[in-house]
Amino acid sequence: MTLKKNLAAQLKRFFSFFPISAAVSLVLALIVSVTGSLIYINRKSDETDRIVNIGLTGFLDDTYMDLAINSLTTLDSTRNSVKLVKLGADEADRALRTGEVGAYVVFPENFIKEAIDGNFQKISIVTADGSKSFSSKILNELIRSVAEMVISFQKAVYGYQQAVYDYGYSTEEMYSLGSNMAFRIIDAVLERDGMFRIQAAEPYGEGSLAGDTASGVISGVTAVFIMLWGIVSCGAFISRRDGLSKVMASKGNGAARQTAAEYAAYLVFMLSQILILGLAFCAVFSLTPLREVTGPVPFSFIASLILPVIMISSLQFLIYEASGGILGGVLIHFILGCGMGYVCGCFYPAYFFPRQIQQIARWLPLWQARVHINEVLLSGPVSPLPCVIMLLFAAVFLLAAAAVRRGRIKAEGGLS
Amino acid sequence: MNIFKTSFLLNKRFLGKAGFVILLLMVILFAVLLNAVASRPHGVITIALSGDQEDPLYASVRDRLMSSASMVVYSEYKSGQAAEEAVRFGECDEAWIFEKNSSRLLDEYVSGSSSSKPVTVIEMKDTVARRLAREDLSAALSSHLAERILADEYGKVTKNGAGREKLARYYSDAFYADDVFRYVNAEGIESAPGSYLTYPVRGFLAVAMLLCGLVVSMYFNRDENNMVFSPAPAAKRPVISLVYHFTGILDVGAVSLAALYICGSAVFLPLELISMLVMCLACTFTGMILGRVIRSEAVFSTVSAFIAISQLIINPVFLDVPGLTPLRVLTPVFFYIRIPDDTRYLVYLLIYTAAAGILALAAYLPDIIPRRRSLPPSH
Repeated sequence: MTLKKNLAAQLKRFFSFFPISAAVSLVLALIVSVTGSLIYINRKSDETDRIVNIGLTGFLDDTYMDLAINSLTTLDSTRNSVKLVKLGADEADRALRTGEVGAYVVFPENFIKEAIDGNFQKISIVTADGSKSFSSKILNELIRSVAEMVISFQKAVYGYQQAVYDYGYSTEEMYSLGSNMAFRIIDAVLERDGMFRIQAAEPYGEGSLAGDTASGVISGVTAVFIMLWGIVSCGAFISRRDGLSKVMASKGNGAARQTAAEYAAYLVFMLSQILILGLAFCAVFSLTPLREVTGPVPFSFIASLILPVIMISSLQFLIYEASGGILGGVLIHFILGCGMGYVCGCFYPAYFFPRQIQQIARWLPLWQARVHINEVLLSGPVSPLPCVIMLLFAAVFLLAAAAVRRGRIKAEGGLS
Repeated sequence: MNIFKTSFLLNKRFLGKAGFVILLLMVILFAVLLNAVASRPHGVITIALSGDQEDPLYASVRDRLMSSASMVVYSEYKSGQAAEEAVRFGECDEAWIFEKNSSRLLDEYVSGSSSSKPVTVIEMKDTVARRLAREDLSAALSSHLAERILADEYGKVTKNGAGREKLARYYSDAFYADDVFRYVNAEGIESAPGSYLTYPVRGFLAVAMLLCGLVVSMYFNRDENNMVFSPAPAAKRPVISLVYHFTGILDVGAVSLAALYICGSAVFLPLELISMLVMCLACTFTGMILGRVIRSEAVFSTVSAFIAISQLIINPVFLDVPGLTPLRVLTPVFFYIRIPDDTRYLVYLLIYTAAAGILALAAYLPDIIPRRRSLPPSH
């Protein structure tokens, strides 16, 4: 059997899956775009541009407390990122479960009065996951900062009232002065940025590892998507017949030739799949309301996927070659893809990880893929280094796959 | 048919595959590595701090910031220039430089007698994470600011004013508020501290278990097409399918449970064991239903890939995107993720499992009923 004939046979095998998987992919892309658009429209009409809603519940009846909290609700208009909403206890619990609020804060009964009497009761910050996830920790951080400010200013108002009373003012005058003080405090909260002078710095070299732009998110998600989307081909890998490698080896198609033909067919299959999905993705982000999230995605984006697909498909090929079974193969594929995507900044920005891990992750395949896609999306110059590294990775994975195939043929008694 | 013997033989077959054993070891290795990563200092943003050590404002704010368990990592630098360099070289994301005599500058800021600011923020780029971090700085400065406003207002309404120490006492005596917060889950239980880096492990393994259920289903369909189960009566096919699926998933479930303990993401053992068993059953039934509905391997593999990817996005595995609850209830993953913090979700998972079990049985009915009808009439 010649290499050409073998390639044709492998193409036939992989492409027997193509019409159905392409059709299903397009239907799924359609579902995603419709669902995504509906969610986006729904959220947009509800809470424009806010990243978090925080519920406030419990005892909120103290006048000054109310003033302070009301002043902090302007966080939304000043920072355009947070909204504080007052809720009843049941309402807050329901809102947390439905995701309407990311967290809620419970102020204990008679919070201020009890605090003045020396019985300080703790404020509860309630999150759905007990403050373990990244989202909850960010919310906690924010709530803690906000509540610390409220308490500091409460103390100032009450301390001031006590001081002027001790000085000799009447109770009515004390309350009147306290109100004036509270308004000054509100101004101080609103203008708290006035305590800082902000100065921009130019980076030396490539600067921070941080890169939390929309293109960074898209490139990370795309890289891990290509990695995981390879699971569609597990059906084609399962249809490989045991013992066929040995027969082919006996007819002059050694491990290297078999690997080359199978990989070439698989690569064409994956490129076709990603091309269709890439076009669907570009259409979704150009034609549906989702375009407001990122703007139209350029078609050069599809071209940027070729090298990552070559590298990632060679890794996928190696996984299925080495695992020897569909169950282990798919799950190794999934766990390796997710695990690598995780440390390479495809799910969280890479700078969330310790610096040493970031340095190691830079040498992993998905990091290179992410960097390359990001460069194309940003329409900047494309660095040759990630391209070279990706091609090297592809070569190493294919050599490893050929070695595994050779070992298997030998084990079957096919090569002397 | 002996269920246990069948299960044992199936397990032997699965474990006989090197790939499956590698997978199980990989889950454990992944947990060990992630745990090691999470034990190193990490945060969403790194801030360089600098200021005069003798300045009481800087010393107080620095101590407050560096002692708080925060998502922000603080590093102290000897000089403002060193802090700025750290930002420029990408070692830190932002620098907060306290001017010399920042205490006096804060006094002047409050009285409005000077336009100088007590703190200079050196930033590369203004992002939401940095703005949120700056709230931390505002909060750390707020008690000093409030105390000074108190003194300033008091000076305006009294003839002689009062000593700073006396007014500071009025401020601190207003009420005592230290260790103000308790962090609780939806059941009001205080949660143990954990890293956000290990948090996704539970969701991630739950998706892996669901995917395992789907792949086992493909495996089962293939065996069924190869007439592996033909000696068994058709009426027993649902039981065989159940045992087949459950056996495959249970192995992954067991190592997932071990991985949760390694990462410190597990709660108390009985709850974990029960929820893991129910989750295995839920994934079993989900796999059985899809296996009956989708007979084509091409469609099944495409749908499996789609389900795996979409579950990572829809569910709060990495990020909790609001508004997706209606989609989350379609698979058991969401319920399983939420169980440690809200045991009501165990009940929801049981309801899901029961409903999926009924649907799975219904999916097998067409196989059983026509065969009974085709039996020859008895004489």
